[in-house]
Amino acid sequence: MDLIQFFGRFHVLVLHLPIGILLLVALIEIHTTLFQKERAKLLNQVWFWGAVSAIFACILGYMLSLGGGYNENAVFIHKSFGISVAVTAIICTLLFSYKKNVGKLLTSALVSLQLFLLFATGHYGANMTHGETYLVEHAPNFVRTIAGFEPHKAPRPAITQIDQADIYLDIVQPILKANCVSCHNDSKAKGQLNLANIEGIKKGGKIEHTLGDGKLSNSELYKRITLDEHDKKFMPAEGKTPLTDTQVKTIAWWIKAGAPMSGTLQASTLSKEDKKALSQTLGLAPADNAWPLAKRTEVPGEVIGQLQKQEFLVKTIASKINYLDVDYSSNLQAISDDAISALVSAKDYIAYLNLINSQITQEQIAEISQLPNLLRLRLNKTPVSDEGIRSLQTLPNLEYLNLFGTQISDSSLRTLTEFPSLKQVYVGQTGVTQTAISEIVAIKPDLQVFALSNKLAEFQESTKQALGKETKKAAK
Amino acid sequence: MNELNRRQFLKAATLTGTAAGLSGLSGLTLADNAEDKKLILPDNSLNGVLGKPHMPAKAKRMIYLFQSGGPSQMELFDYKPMLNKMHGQEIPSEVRGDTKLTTMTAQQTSLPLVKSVFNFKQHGESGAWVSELLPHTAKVVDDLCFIKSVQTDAINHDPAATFILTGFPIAGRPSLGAWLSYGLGSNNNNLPPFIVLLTNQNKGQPIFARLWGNGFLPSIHQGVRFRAGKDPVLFVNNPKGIDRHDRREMLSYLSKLHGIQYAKTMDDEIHSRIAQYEMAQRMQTSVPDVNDFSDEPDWVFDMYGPDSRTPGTFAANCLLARRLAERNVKFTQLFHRGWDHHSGLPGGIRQMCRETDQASAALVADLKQRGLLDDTLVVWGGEFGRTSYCQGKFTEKAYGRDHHPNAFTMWMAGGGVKSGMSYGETDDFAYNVTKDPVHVHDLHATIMHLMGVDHERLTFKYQGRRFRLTDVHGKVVKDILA
Repeated sequence: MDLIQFFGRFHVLVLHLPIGILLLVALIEIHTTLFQKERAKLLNQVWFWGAVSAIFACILGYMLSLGGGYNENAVFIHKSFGISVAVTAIICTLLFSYKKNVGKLLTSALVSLQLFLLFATGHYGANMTHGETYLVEHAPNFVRTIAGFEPHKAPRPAITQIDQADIYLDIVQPILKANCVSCHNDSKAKGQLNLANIEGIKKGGKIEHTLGDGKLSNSELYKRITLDEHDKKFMPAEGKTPLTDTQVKTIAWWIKAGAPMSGTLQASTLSKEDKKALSQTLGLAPADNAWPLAKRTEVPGEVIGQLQKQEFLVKTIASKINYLDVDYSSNLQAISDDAISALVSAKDYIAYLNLINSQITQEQIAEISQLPNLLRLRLNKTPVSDEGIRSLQTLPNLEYLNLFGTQISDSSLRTLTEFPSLKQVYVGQTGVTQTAISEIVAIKPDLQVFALSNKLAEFQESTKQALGKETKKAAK
Repeated sequence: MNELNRRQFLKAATLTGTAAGLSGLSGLTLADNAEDKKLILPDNSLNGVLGKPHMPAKAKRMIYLFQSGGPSQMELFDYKPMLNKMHGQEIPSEVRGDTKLTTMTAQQTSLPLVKSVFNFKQHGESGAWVSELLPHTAKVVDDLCFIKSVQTDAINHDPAATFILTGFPIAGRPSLGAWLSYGLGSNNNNLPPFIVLLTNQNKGQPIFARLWGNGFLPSIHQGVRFRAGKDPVLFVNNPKGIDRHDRREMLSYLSKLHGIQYAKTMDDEIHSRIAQYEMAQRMQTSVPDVNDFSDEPDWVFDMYGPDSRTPGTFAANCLLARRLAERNVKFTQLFHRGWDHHSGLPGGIRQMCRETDQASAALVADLKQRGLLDDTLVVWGGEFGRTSYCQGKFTEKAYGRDHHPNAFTMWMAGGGVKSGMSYGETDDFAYNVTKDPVHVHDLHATIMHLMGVDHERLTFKYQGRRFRLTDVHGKVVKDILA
């Protein structure tokens, strides 16, 4: 039991009293002097209680300092200022109480001194608890310079090429900062691991082989971030967002590369997979399965309502992906011009459109070409013609086009090569010939053209055989 | 107030109140908050309880070709030359370990390994091993993703089928299709989102309607069984002497009566009932339309095989499943029974493959050429696998295999799954998983993920706690995602 410490800790409570009381009385004194107001006698009592609280704060502060744990220099400065506050307060109390008509000059000087000492004491005291950098951590650079601190570090310039990226500063540090540093830093190093700087990372934590020897299986850090998410030892610990797959792959690459702390990436030495993961980490490549269109705000209810009124089945792609999947196919009837204009007025939101069985006309198809964000379009079993396909070629984002069972011919296939983003097209049961498909694939190898299955003949052959066997059996 | 009961009202009030108070957001709809049912009235049922998927769905529809009985992985996909070498020898005890056996072989004094009598070959660019029993599946291996390391908890048919179809071995939980219908709703207002097709057969293990049941979910989410023949859905057509107009009138009045009843009892099942009556009427036209194959050209029947012209065969059901997928039915579940070969395996499995191989492969190829495989997930598999040791006596040509839950093969295709892939490995005896096990819960988590649902966030509160398909388990198998 340490009663001194027990009372000492009340210092942090009591210290606010002299600050409040002395600040108040000092300001009123200045006000009275400046505006030549009549000085209230009550102020003498306020000075008295200010002095008393200051003395108490000093005594408690001294008791607290006996416990140690603080920098001696800092304690000395704070103590000196604190005692000065108390002494000045006592002088003021005595002076104002026993001497009538204290001169203006003397009053102003004493009160100003009191205020200065008060702020100085408070500041150095706070520095001891919060740390010296606390106050200026978020200060603008000129304030930091005046206060004698280094200006903020400039943010890393954006990387435009993978070769420019500094391995530690651009790749590893941002991942650690975003996921690990809040618990593994200079002042709070859980598991004795500090990931806030290079020395700390190299030193590792309580468990040996934080980074390992270039083998993933020997790295505690890698093991922890790849455990089952529900495992007690999984990192980041309970409740915090796990590292993304890309981030894990990036860390894996780094550990296998021997955990270099400096130097830039050498693109030529990277495997294809690593290069992809690192590009994604650097924001140079889109994440896997990323939604290909720009972010939008929520689809207004009226837009969906208008489409539903025209008997479209409307679905939002996913939460946070505010695009629509619009379907007309289950109506089994010709689409009206009103329905088409509803599509056009919702054009920015429509990503998937299914018009199977809609008997859409040439004029109506031309309207569809106004949908800038259309990714997938199904026109199966509609009367769409080669001309109709031509009117669609301005669709900037169209990736998937289904023309199964339509009237199009080889000339449409040539038009399709002009589509800017087209990746998949279905032309089974149309006038499109196999020769034309082979030609197109040669011109545009990244366009996948799906005709009727090339396994068809084999399936049919087998059915024929089976039927043959049955007839033979029956004949017998 | 009539439409909401007291709890619902209070809950809605708290939710909107809190949200408005904290963030000042307006326009917060009840549907967005109501993770655990109730606040959703049937008008929104087309979008399911989630309103919108958690993430973009790679698969908008799913076709599950359930092979009831437990197909033998050693005869079909999991090629094990070691069995040829050790044919007739006891299964090594270190392989068997302390795995449980069924009561059928637990008393057997000897557990001799048996080789497969069927030849295996590698097929396609992916070089997948497929036996001679499946010549058609072998042709489409580059579109398939084999999972050779599926594991289940149950060793007998009923619990195992119940487990793989509902996520729990004891009856009473909602089935996979019911969960999807509940979470995601429907993509076609004229057909139910969950349709079940059974092969007409009088052999095999019994199956029950609870395998496509709704459990504790609102009954509107249960699978609707289509029967082969003239009347695919029973009691949908108008009774004699009642025409469409009369029927409509009757339903409108009935709906009013239901409204009165609901105001009194606040029973959500009434909403289900109203919705089911309405759906039944729409099905009077949509069901005959989808079941009428007369618009299919001959080459399509030739694809699915000669059986496909006979309603009620597995082949005809595969073709019907494709027609349902074209109409955006969310989940179609096929059942084909008879894979339970405790004895006489070679003959039995040959017959099963003859009935299913061509149609299964044709379904994948057909969906692909129509641009549907992209967003339709096809899953093939049974409730468990079979043992590499023999059950009963074996001769050169005849042997049997017992149930085996520790390792078996399934395949998936389309809908955001990598194609031409084989995932997971078993030991030389196809007995234990040696690499990348995929538990049934993981399979469910993965299927949900492909359909746009985070399996941990689709829940239903029942008897005081929130339930989900994967209960407290399940990990998405990321390596098979395209």
